[in-house]
Amino acid sequence: MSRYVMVIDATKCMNCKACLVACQQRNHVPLGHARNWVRQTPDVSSPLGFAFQPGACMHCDKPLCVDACPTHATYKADDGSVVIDKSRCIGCGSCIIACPYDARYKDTATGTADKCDYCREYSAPGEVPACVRVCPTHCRTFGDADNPEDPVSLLLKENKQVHVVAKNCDTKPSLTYLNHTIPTDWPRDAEIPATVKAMEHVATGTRWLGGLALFGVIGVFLKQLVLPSDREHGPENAHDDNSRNDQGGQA
Amino acid sequence: MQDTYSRRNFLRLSAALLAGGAAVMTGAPERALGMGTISGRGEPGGLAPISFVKGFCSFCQARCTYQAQVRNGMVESFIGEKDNRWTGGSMCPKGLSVIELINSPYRLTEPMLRQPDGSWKRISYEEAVRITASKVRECLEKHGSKAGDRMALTMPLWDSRESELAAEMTLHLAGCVHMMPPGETCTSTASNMLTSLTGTGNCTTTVNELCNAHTVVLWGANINDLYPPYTRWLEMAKARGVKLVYIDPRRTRTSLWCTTQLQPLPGTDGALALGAIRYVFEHGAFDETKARALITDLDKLREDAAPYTPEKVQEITGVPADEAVAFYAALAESPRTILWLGGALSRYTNGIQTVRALIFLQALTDNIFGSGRGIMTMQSGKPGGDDEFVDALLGPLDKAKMNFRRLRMAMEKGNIDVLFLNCSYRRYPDCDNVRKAIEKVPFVVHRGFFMTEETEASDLFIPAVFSPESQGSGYGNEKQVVWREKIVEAPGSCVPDWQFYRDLGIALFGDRYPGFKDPADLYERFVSIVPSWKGMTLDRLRKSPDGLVWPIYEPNGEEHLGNVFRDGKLLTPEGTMTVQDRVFGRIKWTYPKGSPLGKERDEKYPLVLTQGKVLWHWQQTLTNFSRELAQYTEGRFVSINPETAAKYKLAQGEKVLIETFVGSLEAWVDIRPEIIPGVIFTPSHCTASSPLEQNRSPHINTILPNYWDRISCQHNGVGCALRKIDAQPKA
Repeated sequence: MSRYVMVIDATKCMNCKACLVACQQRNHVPLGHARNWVRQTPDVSSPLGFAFQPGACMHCDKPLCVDACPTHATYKADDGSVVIDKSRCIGCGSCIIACPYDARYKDTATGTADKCDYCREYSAPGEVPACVRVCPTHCRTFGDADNPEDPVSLLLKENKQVHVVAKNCDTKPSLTYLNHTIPTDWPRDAEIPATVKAMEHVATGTRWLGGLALFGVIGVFLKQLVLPSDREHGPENAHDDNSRNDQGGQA
Repeated sequence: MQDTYSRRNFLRLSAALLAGGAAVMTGAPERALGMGTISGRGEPGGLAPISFVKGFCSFCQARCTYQAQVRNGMVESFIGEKDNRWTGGSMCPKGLSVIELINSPYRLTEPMLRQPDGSWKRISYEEAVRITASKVRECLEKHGSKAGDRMALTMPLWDSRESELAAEMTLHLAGCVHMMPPGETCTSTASNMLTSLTGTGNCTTTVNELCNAHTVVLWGANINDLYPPYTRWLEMAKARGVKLVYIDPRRTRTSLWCTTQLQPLPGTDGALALGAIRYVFEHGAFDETKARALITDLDKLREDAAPYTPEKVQEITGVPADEAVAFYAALAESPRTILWLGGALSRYTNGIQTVRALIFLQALTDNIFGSGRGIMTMQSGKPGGDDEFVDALLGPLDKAKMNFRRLRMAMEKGNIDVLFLNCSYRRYPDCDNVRKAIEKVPFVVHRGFFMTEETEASDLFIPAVFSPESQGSGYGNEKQVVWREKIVEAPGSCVPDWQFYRDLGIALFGDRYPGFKDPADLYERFVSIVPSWKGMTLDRLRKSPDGLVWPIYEPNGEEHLGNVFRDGKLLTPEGTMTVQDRVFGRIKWTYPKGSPLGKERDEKYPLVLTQGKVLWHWQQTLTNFSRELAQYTEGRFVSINPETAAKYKLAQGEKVLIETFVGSLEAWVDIRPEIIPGVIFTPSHCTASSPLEQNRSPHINTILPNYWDRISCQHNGVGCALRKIDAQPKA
């Protein structure tokens, strides 16, 4: 199985925003929302006075958004990406609060959470995400980190890997910057909503109750197999039943 | 209620529960695993199938090719053609915005005829053609052989090169040659000077040659903002150790890639160039035999450059003498230099002399012929052959063409009866008075997309199509010709320009008009007639990911990239260039007309005004209507240096009036060290008719004077002032 990651050479970014427009178009992102971004930070060493840092969902290896999702609509897929199954998403917004990178938004059209999924839904087979393809300076690279011949693997191998990590919780972001990027301290504190945390306890209790109920069902099952009810065995019994009901009716 | 339950019923219930559980479990994480699967595509009840159609962007001359993803008859996205050798598959926000513009809620899709009370009446396309034909016929009947000079068309045509041909044929039959090229507002000065001195009006080399140069000078050429997909060439050249020198009064995205930047005062580039020529002469850093073989009157060049000592250059340009000398020394030592002329150089009244000086600098230093040498321009690349084709079909029409300056005068005098207003008239300086001139034309047809100032100025509006809505060819800066099939249907009664001008031609001239079925038909006929296109067959074009570089004379001939002077000779009639020009005289540099830096300084307008495109915008009439781009535009801003801000007591975000002697318009102050003191920069793209607040402002040309050199109009360099109108900073 492949392990897909995005690596970014932020020093190449000139903030043309082609990646933002391409992403919005490819994934039908409503205006006013975005699945990706370019952060602009004052930097006197740059001729333009700013350093640029392109970004998107970090597709973390320990994603808090997954923990925050009460319906398991958000999950970490085997290919390394963090994905939303929109048919399961109830739009509660817990994942949006949980993500320290603010990489998620609520799609007003569908009522579900949305974020970068590497253009999974609208891409051609094997296609790189729209933001990668369109970039004039090729500062974004996408590929299989487990394939030693993939350009992504070579970049990861040949460069210092820099990650942008939340202060209070390392979610192990897979999106990797090469060598240098600023700033790296911007993610807010990671947080799972109290309601979702409370749901954990409720869910634990429910699981116990469910287990007990299951034992009961199994018991009944075995009992029915070994000692089934004898009322179905012959017409006489049926007659008996009816006559008993009838008697009851007369009483 | 039963207190017992049969084994059969129990097993049935158990099976049902299991099946139900299994059903609930579908849609589990496994479904989303694995890249390369597209959920729902082509499945019953899922998303409709996607088809891919080749196309090209018709905005700037980078001419990016792409694969359009089409679903349910709608373009969903563009995927840059990764095998495009010029762009490497990248695109920019401007080009991508076409997807939105196609389906824009602001788009006009039906023809409209102006009524006597000023209101509009919706009419059919057929009626629109009939009315236009009757107006042209009226003019022809009234003015006979002189009728052709009472009509004009302002280009560009929107969708394809075939549209230009179709229109040219219609006008030709009407005896008219007045098709205004858009270059009059950008590259015409450079193109004409290149033609005059070297024999070719386009780039003398191709962009891939940047990597073979030792030094590349981007003289006013802001590649990264204007041609974002070409950034890769600067990146590749830099990676190969090429020295990139950028000359621009502002630091821009292009500055990010360059080794050195000089920031001369606007309009003083010619003095900087003459200083370089002087340095080369003074230090003997040239091959005199070669130079004399190329420049017939070399001594005159030496004389013209002699006054431009480093001190004088510093005095004029503001570039410190030691920086200028370091630059000159680098040029003198560079074994191979490519000079990229920015469009800005053509936008001063002294642009002709500046461009001439720069071409002579290249010639003097032996940088005209061979690999890694040459001159690039922006917004050029038009292949030859159009007039050849039309003349071959319809016979020659030996008439002098007007430029827009003369057309404006003709309109003001009431000498124009029919105007085909295809472009934005606001691209010309003093555009409010251009509008008044247009209003004197009895019949104005506007081909456009939105309710703009041009629509308001017209008598008949006929909606045009965006490039993906028509088949046809286009050309780019490398003279590469590209092909596109029709990707989606146009809405309503929108028709391509080729169709309108063909239908008009047939309505007016019947069988005399060379009817054609579609652009493919016209293209094939063109290729069969024009020798320099023989090898550029439609079949080859359709197969190519990035087109074919013109010319190819043989049916299966090879493309030629790189330097155009293959025989090591200029393409001028004599194979040489001359300093003493019959029209333009010697190289005599003066400040641009109206510049506050020169003798014309008016203390009321002490700042130098510069304007230009920003990355988010291209066509004034189109991209202003994109909500996607409006997310990033910042309205009418005026960039000034902190020093300028302090001098005039202006704060960030404050509202000011930009004033020239022509008029004023409102802007907000953006204080940036990237621009030099005493100079302002404001974007050119805003328009008063945009429905989007971010783009709504009178056009910059409403406050620019009607200044022209002999070829192009001037947009930069005049004096201006900033007057505070509101103490409240922008939020």
